[in-house]
Order: sequence, then C-alpha cells, then structure tokens
Amino acid sequence: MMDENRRSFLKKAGCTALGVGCGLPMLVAARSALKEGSEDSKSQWAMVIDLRKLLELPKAQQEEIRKACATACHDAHNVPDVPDSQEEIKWIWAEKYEHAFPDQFHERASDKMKEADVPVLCNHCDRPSCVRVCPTKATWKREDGLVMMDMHRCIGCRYCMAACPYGARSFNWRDPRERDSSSGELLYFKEDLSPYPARTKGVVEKCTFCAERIRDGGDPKPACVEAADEVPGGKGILTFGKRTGADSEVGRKLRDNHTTCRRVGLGTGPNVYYII
Amino acid sequence: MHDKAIITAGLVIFVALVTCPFWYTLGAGDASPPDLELPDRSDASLFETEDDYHCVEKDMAARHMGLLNEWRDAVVRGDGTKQYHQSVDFPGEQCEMSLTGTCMKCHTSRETFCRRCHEYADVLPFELPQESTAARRGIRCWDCHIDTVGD
Repeated sequence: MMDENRRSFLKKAGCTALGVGCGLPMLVAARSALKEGSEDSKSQWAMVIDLRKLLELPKAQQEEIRKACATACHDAHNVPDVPDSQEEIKWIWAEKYEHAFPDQFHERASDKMKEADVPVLCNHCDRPSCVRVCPTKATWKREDGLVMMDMHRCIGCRYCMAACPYGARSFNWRDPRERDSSSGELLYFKEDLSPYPARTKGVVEKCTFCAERIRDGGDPKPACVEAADEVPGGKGILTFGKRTGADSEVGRKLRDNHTTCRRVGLGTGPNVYYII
Repeated sequence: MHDKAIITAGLVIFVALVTCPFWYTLGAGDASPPDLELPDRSDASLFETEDDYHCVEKDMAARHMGLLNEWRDAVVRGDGTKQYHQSVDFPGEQCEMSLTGTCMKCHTSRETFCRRCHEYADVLPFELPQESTAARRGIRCWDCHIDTVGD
C-alpha cells in the first residue's frame, strides 16, 4: 500500500537532487586536495638564486660565477658558441636588472641593483606559454614540472620563442656542427664534444634543468649549480630541488626569504626564484 | 596487318625501357651486399655469455628502425626516468633504451656498421641537401647524437 503522495515524493526527490548536487563536487574537491598534499615525488623542480648573496661579492667574483655557470652548462649540453648576437644560442646567461625585472625596476633603484647582472635561464613555468602555442607538442610540461623539448618533433616555427616572455629560447639558424670549408675545424664547438646530443639546424632549444642528470636519479644537481658551488664564495648561490616537501632545501629557502620571480604579473608561474 | 614492324619495334623499346634498371645495375659492376663489421666480441660488455652472444633482439637488420623509434618515444617523451627494453626474443634480458649508451657499446663504428649498409640500400632517413654536413654523415641520427667513439 503506497502512502506516498505526489507532494512528499517531490520533496524527497528535491532533497536527493540537492544532496547529490552539492555533495559530489565537494567529494571531488576533497579528493584533489588530498592528491595535492601528496605530490612529493611528482612535485615541481625549482631553483632559487640568491641574488643578495651574489651581489655582495666583488664584481670580478660575480662575473667569475656567472661565467662558470654558463660555461659548465654550455659545455655539458653542446650549446654552440655562435659569435653573431642575432643568432646566438644560450641556456643560461646574464641580464641587466632592468631587463630581467622590467616590472620591478624604477629610477630610484639603488646603484647596486641598476648595475646588477642577473643570471637568468628557463623558468620551467607552471603555466608555460611556450607549451600552449607549440603546434606540434614538441615542447610540453612533464609531470615533474620540467618544460621539455622533443627535437625530433620540433618544426622550427619559433612560436614558442615569441610566446616566452623571458627570451629563454634560442633558434638554431645554422647547423651547429658546421665545419670550416677549408680548415675543417668545427666553427661553433670545441673539438671535444660532450656525449649529450647536439641539435640540428632549424630547431629551438633551451635549458632543461639538466633532465639527463635528473634521469640518473639521486640528488640531481644541474651543471650550473655544481659550477657555482665550486667557485670560491659561490656556494649556495644557486639551489636546485623540489619546490615542496619536508626536506626540500628550495622549499626552506622559499619559506625563509623574501623571493620574487621574473615578470610575476604575466601569470606564467615561473619556477626560478630570486632572493633579493 | 601492315604495322607489324612498327609494333615490334615499339614492343622492343618498351621492354628495354621497363627493364633498364636491371641492365643498369648489372652494368654498374659489383652489387653484392656490403660486409658489415659486426662488433668485436672482446669489447662487448652487454648480452654476452661464454657461448651465447647476441643483440637485444633477433633479426635486427629488419627491426632496428621500429625499435629505435619506440626507444626514442619512450625515452624522450617518458616520465624522465631511465627506460628499459625487455627483450622479446631473449626473455628475461633487458637493457637501457639508449642509442649511444647501449647500441654503440657494441656497434662502435657507425662508418663501418650503420653507414655501409644504409649507403648500399640507399636509405638515408631524412635526407638533407647534398652540401649540408648532415648529408655527408648520411644517417640523420648522427646529426645530433654524439658518436662517442669518433666523429
């Protein structure tokens, strides 16, 4: 015998719909929040550059550190040394403060900052604009946060270069392993190449946070970090590691210091942080 | 039936044209397959036991291109960890997916190994303009991947 009338049925049905409608999204949100909490192994690789410490050093020593970083990186990854600045290729280099941080620079900035040369590299952004524009998915954001490139797939359209607000990408305008036609010498490399694959004419390249070292596991240290640590007074200026996690040195530095990123307002979410 | 001579001549010319690649090859001299210098056993550190010495899979002449493509995709577009190839033909054996790290450990000379065969078969993947250095190298893997033995 049914004692249900239409009115009470509609009430119950309404309550059920309301419960499901509100409850499900909350469950989903809770689940994703839990996931985020345990992101350790997949969490983003990041770098902290202690600009304060770097700029306290004498000019010559600063220069030595920046040079050591660039040389170590470019040698390790067979980055060609193209003299023409229009066609140069760089993974890590120095930029004047006003160019590195154009939205933070102002006329009354201290002389020290005005003259500062800031080490810059690919920021491996949280929301990389280069990845959004790549028509072939030759560049993509890996699970561990690296913005990777697939040279087999790059068609050299240079959209990514136009999209990157940090100028972190360089195009190979010429065959990097070109040899002088008369002497047969390599034009842009030293003769002893590192085993890291070189690139070919017509592809775009940039810093990879030393993905090849990360692949080898352990506690990876990119070539630039290693090189800076070896220069007297340079230890700790560059720190690399996971952004979060209990024993993360990068996480600790981010918590303990006032840091900034390049062009924060653009919303790309850079992962190279500067202590200033 | 007055065109017999013309038709015959036409046929002869047709057959000659169709078969000319064969005549050309015969006339071009020795067309025997190249000698591939297989790896020097004493140098090998992989896949070697006293009485058994083999590559990661059987019949690699026919299969290496597919295998290399698979390795490339797995390594380049993978999660960033080391990738391992589980051998199908030799169950239980595995090796790291790496052109220079695995293949080149045994096949040390790309001049006598890769190139000799690729030139004979006239298979130069992604062939580039003749004047480029890459074309002189022949096989495009070596445009970028560094042959650690000699270049």
